[in-house]
Amino acid sequence: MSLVQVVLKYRSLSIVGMEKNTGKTECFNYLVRKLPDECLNIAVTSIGLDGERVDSVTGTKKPEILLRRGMYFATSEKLYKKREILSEVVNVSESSGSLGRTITAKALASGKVMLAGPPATVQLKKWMEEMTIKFKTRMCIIDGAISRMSLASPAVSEAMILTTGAALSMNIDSLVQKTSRMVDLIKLPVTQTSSYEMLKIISKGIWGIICGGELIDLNISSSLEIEKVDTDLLSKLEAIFISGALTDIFLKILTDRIDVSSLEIIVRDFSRIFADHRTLFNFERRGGKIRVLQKSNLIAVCVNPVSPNGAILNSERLCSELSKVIKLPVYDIIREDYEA
Amino acid sequence: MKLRTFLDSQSSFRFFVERLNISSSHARNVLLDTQFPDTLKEIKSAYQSLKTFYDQFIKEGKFKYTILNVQEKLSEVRDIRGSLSRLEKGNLLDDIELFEIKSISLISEDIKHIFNETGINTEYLNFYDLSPVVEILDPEGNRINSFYVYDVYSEELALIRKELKSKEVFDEELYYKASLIEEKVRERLCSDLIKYVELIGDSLKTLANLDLIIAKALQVKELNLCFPDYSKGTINYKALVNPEIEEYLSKEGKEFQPVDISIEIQKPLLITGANMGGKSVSLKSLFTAQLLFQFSFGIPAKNASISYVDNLFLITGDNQSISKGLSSFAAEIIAIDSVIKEVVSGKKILALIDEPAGTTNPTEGTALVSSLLKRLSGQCSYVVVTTHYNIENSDCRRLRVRGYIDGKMDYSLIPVNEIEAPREAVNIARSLNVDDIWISEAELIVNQKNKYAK
Repeated sequence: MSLVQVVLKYRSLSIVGMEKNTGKTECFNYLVRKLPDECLNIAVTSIGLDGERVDSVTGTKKPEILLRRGMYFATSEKLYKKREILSEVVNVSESSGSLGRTITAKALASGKVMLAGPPATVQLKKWMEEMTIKFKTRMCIIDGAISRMSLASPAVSEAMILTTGAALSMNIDSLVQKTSRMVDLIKLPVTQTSSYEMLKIISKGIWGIICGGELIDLNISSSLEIEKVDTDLLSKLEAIFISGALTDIFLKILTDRIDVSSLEIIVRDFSRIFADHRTLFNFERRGGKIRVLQKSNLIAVCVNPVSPNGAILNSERLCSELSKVIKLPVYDIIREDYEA
Repeated sequence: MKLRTFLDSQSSFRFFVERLNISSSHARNVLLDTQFPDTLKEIKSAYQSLKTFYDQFIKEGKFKYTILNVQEKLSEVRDIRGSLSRLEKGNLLDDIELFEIKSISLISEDIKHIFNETGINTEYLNFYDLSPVVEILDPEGNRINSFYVYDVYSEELALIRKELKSKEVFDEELYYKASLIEEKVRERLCSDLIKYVELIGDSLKTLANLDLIIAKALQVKELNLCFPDYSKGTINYKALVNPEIEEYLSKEGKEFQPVDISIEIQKPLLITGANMGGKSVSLKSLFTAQLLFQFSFGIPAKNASISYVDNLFLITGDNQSISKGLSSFAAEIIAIDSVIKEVVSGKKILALIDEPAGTTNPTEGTALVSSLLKRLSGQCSYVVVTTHYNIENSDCRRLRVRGYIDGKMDYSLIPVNEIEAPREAVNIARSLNVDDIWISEAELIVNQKNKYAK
């Protein structure tokens, strides 16, 4: 099955890059180009401010998205004015983000735009809902940078594509290893806790869950303050829910102070895990589990064998080795596009 | 003074404002920026619209879906005053701004249509005819809330775009040509629209006003509020309640006791009664109700007859102004002084003063309160003072909290004729299950003192 056929089975898709220049935009454009003509009622956006705008400062190519007639897109007021596409405004958001309000428009002909969508997860979700209900789009595609600067999470989508490539590492083995670690994070299972519904509503703080599913506010505002929590209390906990970021220090202190063999740590989604691979490994080897509230279905990995300085990796070997390790289809978009 | 300055007053006004089911944030901002009214006429006309709308659409609940429909449309209203002023100044608007103007015009026309369908007279809501604006911005007559420089605006543009679409690769030159023509079209549109700027601005006001009327009318129904009568003399409330406290109490399974109260002009009202007697609550309810009246909300009472005032004050002893380096006593005295200045200057105000000089010794405290009553009586203002001192003063009307009756607190206010020593404090203290010997001793002392007095 071709990548486009797989993608079209879902109502929302986010494309997430391991690193800049790993071919996220190419992947995006590839999908848009390959969409069958009758499937163009699709909405695209990106999550908030991603790092790539910096590229336009340093002079590398601007990541513009090619759109086809009939597609909807959301971008900031400022970038909408810079569009190179014939399009009609269909909505202007009420809340204003760091780049101004979000403009939703419909492409009336093919052309190029730069995307900068709703700045936070809640607004992104609302936008996706609105697109499906009001504009009857069959799918939303989100340009989802795993950027620590972004407040919105790509995990709001049903399906996810990860892009990786030579920009991350020029050594195939190390590239495969780094990518498979990220894949492991994305594939973290959803928690089975009975407090699941409650946790979904909580937006702040760090909470302990004791036997029976009762929630206790640990009264610390960030995972860096875990030292302040009483050891006795910690060892009673069945699970800990972190609404913000899971950090190295948090895991280290936890493993030092208590027996983590039956402890579950719950984070909102994989993008909140900022701990080092080694620390995570150490935690899991001691029996600890890491679970998420929201999980996207990773459907494929796309590779870009070309590094920004022009060196090219062996695409075939890269694809097959990566596919063997992560047990998922791996596509070299650039080659496929060329061959097709 | 704007409405928002009263939100942090020590009253339940914020509760009412936050409970309003307002559809657009623009209307909310309009509400918060509402100026304190200068005349009774303004209040009267606001209530007139509110009551008419309530009677027509809310009271019987027959138009529930109509209202929901209108509210949904109103939720799309955006504050476009910035774009309008840019248009007025002769700036060239872009697609986004033209979209905003079209959007407001379509919403306004749609809502007008919804109300016309009901067959009820809604002239007082002041809908304007924005069809010429819609016509300019919707040349294809699609009535869809979207905008771009349509092909029908210019034949040349249509041709270029056709060519653009037929090309395999993006043609920058053609795109540039098209954008030049688009610019010209926008210039034309702006010059066509400029004469409607005022009309569109007024329509925006109408929409915000409608949003607020709907929200206030729904609140009248939800919280069981009343529409007040207008009085020039006595302010009068029957069964005045405080829904915020009522809600809080009902969570604990308790009931709020409505209070009947009237305030005469020129004659200060003195409310006596021991601590915990609900005096402060009554003052806060009075203050809240007066604010609601000034900004034409429903009033939380069975019926009310209220007078317009130029200003209103609620002074409680607990506002320390540390920043000015004043003690709570000094801050209170200065606050009261500002009330006196307003009253003496001939303004008609409502001044509610809770336990003035309540923290000082009884002898001086009593003196300060009774002289304050004397100073404030005979002026063209409404004054309510609470105290637990014995005030021997005839310059005021007196009410007293009925107090403990059969082991239950009765918060209703009853007239007092003779000057009597309040005995409630001891009773209340006893009801709190504290040390019995202590309270009995206190009772003994009170009784002895009364004997000497006689």
